Amino acid sequence: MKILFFNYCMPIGLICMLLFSVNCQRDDICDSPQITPRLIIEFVDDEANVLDTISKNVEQLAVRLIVDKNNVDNVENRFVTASIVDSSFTTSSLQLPLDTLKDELTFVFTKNFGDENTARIVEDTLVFKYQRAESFINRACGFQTTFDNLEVERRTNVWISDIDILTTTITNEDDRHLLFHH
Amino acid sequence: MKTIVIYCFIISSSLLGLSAQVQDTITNTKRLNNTYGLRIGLDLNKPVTTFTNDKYTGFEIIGDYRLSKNLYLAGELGNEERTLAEDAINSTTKGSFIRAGIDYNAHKNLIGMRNLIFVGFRYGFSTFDQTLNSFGVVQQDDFFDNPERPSGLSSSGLTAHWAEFVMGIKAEVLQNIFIGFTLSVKRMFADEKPDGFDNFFIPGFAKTNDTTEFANGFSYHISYYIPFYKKRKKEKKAKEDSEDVKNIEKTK
Repeated sequence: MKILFFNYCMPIGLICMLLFSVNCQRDDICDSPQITPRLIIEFVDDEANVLDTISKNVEQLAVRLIVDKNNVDNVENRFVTASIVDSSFTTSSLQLPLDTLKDELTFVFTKNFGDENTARIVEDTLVFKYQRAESFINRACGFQTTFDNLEVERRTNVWISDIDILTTTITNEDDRHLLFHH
Repeated sequence: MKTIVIYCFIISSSLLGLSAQVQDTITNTKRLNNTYGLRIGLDLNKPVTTFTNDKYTGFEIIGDYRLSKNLYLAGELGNEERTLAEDAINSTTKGSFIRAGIDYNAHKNLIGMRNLIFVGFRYGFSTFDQTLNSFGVVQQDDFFDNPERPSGLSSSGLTAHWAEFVMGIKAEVLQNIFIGFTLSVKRMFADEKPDGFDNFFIPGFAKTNDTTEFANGFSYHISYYIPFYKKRKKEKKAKEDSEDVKNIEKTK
C-alpha cells in the first residue's frame, strides 16, 4: 500500500508541482483606480451665489500650455484641449493635467476660439503653482504624484470673473478642485 | 532552452539512479543503508544564473543530516543579489537567507541503494537590503513628458519569514555523490517593507507578488555524502534487515 502510494502519487505530485511552478507567473498590469490626478476645473455661472453653483458651458474653450511667453501663437504652446478634429471644444468641465516634473505652469484659457468674429475671442492667462509629492502605488503601476499648496495667479482679468479654489491639495479626481466663474 | 536541456539531464540521471534498483544488485556491496552522516552540496541553478545573467549573483549551499531511518534534518543557506528592471520599477535586492526543516524519505530503497524521494517542510528566514534605482510615474494622459526618474530610496536590514513545503529527489549516481532536484511551494508570512516602496524580491524566497503570498521554487543540486558512523543494529533492526534480504532472494 505504501509502495503504491509513493510510487504513483509521488511522481504525479512532483509533476504537478513542476507544472505549477512553470505556469504560475502573472503578468503585472497596472489597474489601480488611483493614479496621478488631474486638476478638475468646473466653469460656473457668475450670476449664481457661492452656495448654489450652476455649471455654465464655455463655448469653444481652448487651453494652451505656455512655453513661449513672447509669442502665444507659437506652436510649441500646445493645446491641452486638442483633439483630432479641433483645438477647442464646448464644455463646462475641464480635466487639466499637471506637470509632474515642474512646480509652475502657465496656461492661456481662450473662450470662443476660432470664432469668425475675432472680437468675440477672449483670453485669460493663469499661472498655477504647486508642490509635488510622489507615493508608491504597486509594482505594476510604479508611483503617482499628488499636488499640494496649489496657488492660482492671475495675469489678466478678461472673461473669467472669479476663481474659487475649493481645495489646495489635489490627490484624486473624485471632486472638482477649482471653480471658474464667467 | 539551455535550462530545459540541463533539467532533462538532471531528471533523467536521478531516475537512472533509481531505476538501477529494478535490476537486482545483490552482487553489489550489501550496504544496509545504516550509515549516518552529513550530506553537503550546492544548488546548481544559482551559479548558472550568476554566470548567464548580469543582473543576478547568488549561491546556495544545501545539506542534510540523517536523524533516523527515514528522517533527515535538512537546510539551505545562501546569498543573493538581484536587480529587477521592470516597466515601472527598477530595484536591487541584496541579502542572505537560511532555510531549515525536516525531510522524510518516502522511498523504500532496495539493498545497496541509498536514494531519497523526499517530502518535507522548511522554515525560511532572510535578511536583506532593498534599493530603488529608478521608477516611473503613471499619469492619466501623455500631455507632459513622463520619463523614468532616478530614486535614492533605500532600506537596509529588512527581514522576512516564510514557510515551505518541499518535495524532491536525491539519487546516488556515484559513490557518495548525489544529484537531484527539489520543488517547493512557499508562503510568505512576515516581510518588512522598505520605506516608501515595497519588496519585489526576497533572497531565498522568490519574486514577490502583489496578489498572493505564495510562490514556488525549483532547483537542481549536487551533493556529497560524508558518513560519520554506523548505527548499531538492535535486535529489531537485525530482524528487519534479514527480512529485507529474504524478500530480495524471493523476488530474484
